[in-house]
Amino acid sequence: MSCNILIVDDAAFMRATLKDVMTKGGFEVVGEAVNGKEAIDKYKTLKPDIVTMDITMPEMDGLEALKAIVSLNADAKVIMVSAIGQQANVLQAVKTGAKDFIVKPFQPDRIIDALTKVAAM
Amino acid sequence: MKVEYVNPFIESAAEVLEEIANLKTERGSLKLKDANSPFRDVNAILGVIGQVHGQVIYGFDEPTAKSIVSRMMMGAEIIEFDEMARSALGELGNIISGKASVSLESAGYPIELSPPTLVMAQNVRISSMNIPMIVVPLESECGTMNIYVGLEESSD
Repeated sequence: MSCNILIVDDAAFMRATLKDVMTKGGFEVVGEAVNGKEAIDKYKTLKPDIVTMDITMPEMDGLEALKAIVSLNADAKVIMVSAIGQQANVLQAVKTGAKDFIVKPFQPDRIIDALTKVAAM
Repeated sequence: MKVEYVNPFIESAAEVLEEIANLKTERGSLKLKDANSPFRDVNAILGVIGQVHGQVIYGFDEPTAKSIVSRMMMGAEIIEFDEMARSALGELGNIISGKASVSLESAGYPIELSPPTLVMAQNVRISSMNIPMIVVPLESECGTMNIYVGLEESSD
């Protein structure tokens, strides 16, 4: 089964790291976005199966983008990948519809496990 | 300025450096930063708002910053601070501070962080707006990383 991913993170280093992990894990990265606004645009045009979403980003943060994406598609599969694992953030993300929450720094396996699980939902 | 605001950043920095750069560090002694002394050559600055507010700055000399970033990027040689290297250093500051924010939240000080700003210059002075800063060096085989924490409790 092919599974297309959109990576959203403002840090080029983190996008490259995630892309490397995902590609090695057999997932296809179809696009990258650097803020929440771009994430929404690319979600509409690329129609990815799964989105990985950073939270702290300039322009529009990941929680706002998550809300917008879920309102476009109630079944959207979004996994938060953020350094800010404070309880309030995690709760808000899950309530808004995020399927998982990965706290940076992460082990590559954590990413692959989450993608595999969410892809099967 | 309480030491309990500083410790989460130091502990988190040591843990994150070990995890993402495979780098063991040793903590040096804590000092009050002289307000007139310059910062290091490469600084990742994050603003803090919430129950406590101010700034946290991760400062390096250039060879140390390059060698830490190289370790974060699987040993790739860093010749220039290009977008990738700059974003790696910003992300290091972001991850350390994010982890510290979780400890601060459990200690009763919920905070929010700004995205990191990178300042690269020699003899740079960065004003902490009258909030005194504490500096703690973390020593490693890459050199010394300074962690500057200038936080004070918000009035309400």
